[in-house]
Amino acid sequence: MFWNSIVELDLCIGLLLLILYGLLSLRNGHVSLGHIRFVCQAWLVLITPLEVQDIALCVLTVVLLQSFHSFEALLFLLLAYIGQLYMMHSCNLVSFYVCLEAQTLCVVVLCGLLARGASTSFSVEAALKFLLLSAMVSGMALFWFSAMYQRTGSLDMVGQETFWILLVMLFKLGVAPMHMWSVDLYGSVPKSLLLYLSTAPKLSLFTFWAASWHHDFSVGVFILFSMLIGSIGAYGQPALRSLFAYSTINEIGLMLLAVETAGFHTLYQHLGIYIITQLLLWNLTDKRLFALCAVSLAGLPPFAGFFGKAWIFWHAMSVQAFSLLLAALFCTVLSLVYYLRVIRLFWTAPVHTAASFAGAPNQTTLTSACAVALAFAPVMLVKPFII
Amino acid sequence: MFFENSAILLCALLGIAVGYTKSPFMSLMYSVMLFINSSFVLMMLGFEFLALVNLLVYVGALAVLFLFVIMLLEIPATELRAYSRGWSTLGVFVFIINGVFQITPSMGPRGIINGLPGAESITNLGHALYLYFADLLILNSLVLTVALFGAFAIAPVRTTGR
Repeated sequence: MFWNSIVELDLCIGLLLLILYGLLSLRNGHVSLGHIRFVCQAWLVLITPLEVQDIALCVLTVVLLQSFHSFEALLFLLLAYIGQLYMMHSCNLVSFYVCLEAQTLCVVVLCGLLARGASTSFSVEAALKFLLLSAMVSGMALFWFSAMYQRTGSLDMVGQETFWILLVMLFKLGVAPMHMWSVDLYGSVPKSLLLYLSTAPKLSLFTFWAASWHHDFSVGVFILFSMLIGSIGAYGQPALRSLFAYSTINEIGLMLLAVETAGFHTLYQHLGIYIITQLLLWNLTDKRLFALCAVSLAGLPPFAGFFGKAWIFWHAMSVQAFSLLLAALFCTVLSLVYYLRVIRLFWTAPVHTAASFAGAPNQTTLTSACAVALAFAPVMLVKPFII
Repeated sequence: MFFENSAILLCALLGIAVGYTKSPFMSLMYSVMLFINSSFVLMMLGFEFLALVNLLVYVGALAVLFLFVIMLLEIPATELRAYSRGWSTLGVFVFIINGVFQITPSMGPRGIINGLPGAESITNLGHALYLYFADLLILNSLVLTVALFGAFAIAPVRTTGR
């Protein structure tokens, strides 16, 4: 087992060299942040092993690194990447906990780090809330780990304590009885961190769930809660960020439905489409393209979001989970109205009264890549309906 | 099992005494005796690593911390509120329950590794930390690095001059 730990040691030594390079060379006039960012991205690509989910996480993090503008932020993203990489492959509860803490702590520090300027108190308050709540919940998880160990003498996932540990995992995902932190956090965090927060932790947690998490009860209650709260809760929100926070809760409920019916291929498809949509959503400066992304999230036909949702519903139907399917369809219809309201606001209202937001100016490559992926993904996804 | 039970009963008695005195200094002394007693109970049950860590952390750090707090407040002028509010009655209740029901743990240290049945807890801990979960130890060091570096990174930068 010692030789397996050499890999982590190697990663950490590489990271240490990156830290030294960044800290020592940023004082030099010839090295700018763009160079260091490139070296970080190159390090990510060089250390990634060869499985699909690792490649997906690597590509996602390389893209996300592009929108951060300070060296410490890049570093915390890389540290969180290591935690997420090992979480996706862990099959023991101890490693799950250590990797979860690595990822959560990095998100908390990033929330506090990126609080500059006018929104400082909001960001710091959001970071504090997230820290306290997630620390408490992780403590609860540790208690149930030790209860499970005391009863069975092993840390593999057997027994009735998995319910409470599942609650912890659902908290970190932002599932509905425990979703309030995500609504607050989405509203008060700078846009680059919002990009990171809504994509990478969910990818690693869902991959861990699909790969090695076992439990013998159903998460139907959480699915119903999430979808209802996600569809109905968005109607009272004045701000765009909290509206899309509730839409995220809705989407997570849908992905839980995919996990519940054991359709892990549909889960990954919808998760991929959702991640691309989120990346596009928070990077756009044009209002009309934003409205089109909202349509994709809503699940209307020519866009890829429709196929992600449709395949989850198709699989639920083939497994005969009819009651959950009916509830999901009902909540999707309910949530359609606020997406359409976003479209109405952004396409038809006059320019000086509608919401306008400033994005970073050099996101063109990312935007065009994501737009192409969203528009052409249906071609690849129509296949299951033909077969 | 008689010695373990009586040591645990002594723990309960000391716990009542912590809340039953008027002076904060005597309360602190009773709590130090309680920590040493709990360490002794752990040693009797076979958890010698936990016993030593208890001594180190509770007596060496926490009791010293409380001692500093009491030193910085004015001792002659303060009296413990818990005494006058009657919270120590709850401690008496716990003492009676413990005496009547003889609540004792039923098993000693177990190893997570099945090949070491007769090893003491520190051997098991060493095997677990440095052999079987060695990679997790390094990942854990990463988490600690995040905590340390994050505390530095979040701290507000004071610009000299204006």
